[in-house]
Amino acid sequence: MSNPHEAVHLDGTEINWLHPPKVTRLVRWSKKTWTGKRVSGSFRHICHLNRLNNLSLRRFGRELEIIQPAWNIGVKASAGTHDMDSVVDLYVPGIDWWEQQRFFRANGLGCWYRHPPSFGNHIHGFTLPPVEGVVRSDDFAMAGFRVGVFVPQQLADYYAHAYGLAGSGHTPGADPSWFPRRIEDTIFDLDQYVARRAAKVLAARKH
Amino acid sequence: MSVTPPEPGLIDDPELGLPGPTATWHPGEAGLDEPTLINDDRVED
Repeated sequence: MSNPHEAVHLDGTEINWLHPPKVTRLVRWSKKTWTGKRVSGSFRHICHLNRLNNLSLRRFGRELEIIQPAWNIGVKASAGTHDMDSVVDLYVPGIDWWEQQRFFRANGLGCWYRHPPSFGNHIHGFTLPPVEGVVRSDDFAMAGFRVGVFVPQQLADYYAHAYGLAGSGHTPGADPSWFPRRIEDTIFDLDQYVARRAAKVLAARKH
Repeated sequence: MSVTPPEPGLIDDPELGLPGPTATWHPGEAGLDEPTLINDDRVED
């Protein structure tokens, strides 16, 4: 299995998988957006994107295209969603939109396919935070992730099978498209991801 | 499928229109399933 990209430090140096950064530490991805801009985010978010990219290669034979990354400050139209961590607009070129929505939802990206007439075609999503307590909307904050002002409600809407939009877009059960049976079971496990890479480092040292 | 028009601030950069069909969700999609592989160690990367 090829692994064309990886999380790296902001200055481009490699991650030490035996002593990884904190989950909330800002890092960047070696892959850039479709317009060549930097993709930055928390260590957990970027590792999740990289794992999704590898799974997309395996599933569809194609890499993700990042349209708008997290920490994309200054875009007025996306204020409240993309101005801090964990949120991304992306797609897999050439793949049916509903199929890729299923793929992303099954693999820990809380997301919706946004489409015309309200939007240009894209998948809007966020790396699901670890579950803490019974209220979903505070899970980002409980795990130490800073997100845009609208994102906690979107997280709660995702678990409620709502659209994550204004007005009736918050209505539970309104989104009839596919959701995982247990959304909690799709949450990305960063410790496991790091452990796989640490094991490879140690194995390489033995040879 | 009806989508409530977004309020200002919830528009995810609507000017970024992508090439591709405008798909419409249909009930047949509900019967499909998707495996969760995100933490599956058997799927290497």
